[in-house]
Amino acid sequence: MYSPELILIELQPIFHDALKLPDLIITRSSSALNTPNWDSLAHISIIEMVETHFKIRIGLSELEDLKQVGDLVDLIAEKAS
Amino acid sequence: MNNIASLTIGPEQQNIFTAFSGDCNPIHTDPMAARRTSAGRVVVHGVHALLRALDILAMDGYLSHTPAHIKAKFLKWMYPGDEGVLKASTGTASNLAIQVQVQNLPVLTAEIEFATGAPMNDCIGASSGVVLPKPRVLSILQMRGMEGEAYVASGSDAAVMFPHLAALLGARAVAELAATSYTVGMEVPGLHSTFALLDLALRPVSNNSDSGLRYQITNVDERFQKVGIKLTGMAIDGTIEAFVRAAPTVQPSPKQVASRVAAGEFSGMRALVIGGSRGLGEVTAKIVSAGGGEVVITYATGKTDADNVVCQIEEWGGTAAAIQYDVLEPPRSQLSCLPYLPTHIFFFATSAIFRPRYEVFAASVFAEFVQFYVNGFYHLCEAMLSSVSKCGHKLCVYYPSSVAVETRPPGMTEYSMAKAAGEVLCHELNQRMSGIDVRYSRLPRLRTDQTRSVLPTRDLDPVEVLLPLVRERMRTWQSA
Repeated sequence: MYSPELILIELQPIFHDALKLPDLIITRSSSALNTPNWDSLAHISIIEMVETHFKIRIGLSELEDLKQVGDLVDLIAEKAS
Repeated sequence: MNNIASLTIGPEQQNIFTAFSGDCNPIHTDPMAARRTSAGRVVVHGVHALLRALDILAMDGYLSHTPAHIKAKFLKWMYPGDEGVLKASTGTASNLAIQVQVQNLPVLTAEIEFATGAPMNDCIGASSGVVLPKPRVLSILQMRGMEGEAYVASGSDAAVMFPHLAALLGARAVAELAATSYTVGMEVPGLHSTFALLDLALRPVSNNSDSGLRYQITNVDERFQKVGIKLTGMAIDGTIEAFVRAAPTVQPSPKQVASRVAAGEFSGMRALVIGGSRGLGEVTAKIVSAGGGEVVITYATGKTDADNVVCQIEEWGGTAAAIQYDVLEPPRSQLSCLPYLPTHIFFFATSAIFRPRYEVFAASVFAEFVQFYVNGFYHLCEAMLSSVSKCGHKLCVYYPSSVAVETRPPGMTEYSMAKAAGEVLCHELNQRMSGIDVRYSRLPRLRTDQTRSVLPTRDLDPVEVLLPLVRERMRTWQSA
């Protein structure tokens, strides 16, 4: 069982790796609009690493609803429970 | 990373690699076809840039040992003539990291692991496989489980193309590396493809080896339109990943548009749609025509696309024509062939919108956008107004701004600024020029060739967004 707080902590290295920004701190409001290097390729990389790390699968419609990291955190919490 | 060398691939080198590799995908060879992709114009084969980089490194002694494993990612388009810079990390005996950057942005990265022990066998190898005359056109579902043999050029040709790398790896290995471009661009995904990653082990080749380069689709992710391909050759063994690129955007047909437009609601409108050969301009032209209006669309280079739109409208029963018009050139002489004086102008001229680059603000990019979205727009209005005002009617104009003015997405600073400037110009035109009524709105991201992405998105319906705007312009004209 993952708490949202723990999920956000575990997402940090994933985003560091995908965005090539080792000092980045992501928050629930982080998104592609306000985070450097977060382009479409990085987004795919993030999703794939999230799926591997948390052992979940995110569907197409769920992907379309992800606007910011908080949405991703909540989705992971729901799927990984 | 340290600067190693400049790396620029010109059109002639591009043509030579195309002939050598067999990868004649139109994104590399046909400017009109490339225009309809997210690249916007012809791009360099990513594998060509990689092999050129490795050849330079081999020549300059950076590949002191024989590479045994190459993992490369193709991050951004590289265009013929781009001034690339090859950079490399301070390597060790076991590995080396390299990048090719254009304007300080990496377009490809690679990690090279070196072999210990004996150098690679210097196998030349004849060509193998059959060259397709044109790329396969496949749906992602058709790609599942697909397998086959890719064309591989002769080792002797590879040794001419990349002599230093061939001397190090063996010519056959270089030919098979080049064949990964053929595999993606011609076999699978084929026509609509983007090479993303290669992860290949290099192995010694026996001169007795007589097998080709086999490919097999190992996984398909429909969410991202991504395929994984296993490659097995004489000299290389591993996987590559590629995306299925979106095909040119097909906008709603005149019949589909007409189902949502009242017959005759735009009767009397004589519309000039700047940039009407595709995208939002195309949709607007079809809306006007569906409502009984006359429409002239313009194109800068896409005559075939413009003629196609006119043909669609006329086959449906509407009235349309196309003229060439470049917003960067003086307007009056270009507009002299208009069949009528327009009552309405819809200005959808645009340049390439998405420009990845390193700086927060690039003055040259801003200047180019201003030419399109401010100067080009102003000069057109000025030229048309002087003709239209003599007839005594008002010229109603629509200027599409963008939500980017508010949201300011990363990497779109110059575009947002130019559109904001366009909005100010619209206000000034209304205040200081009589006989013209300009309306602008900030359009959301709609599905066009430029906005297509590998990411799944819920696309807004362009007719639903544009129809009310056309109606508003009609009402304004009627009440004038």
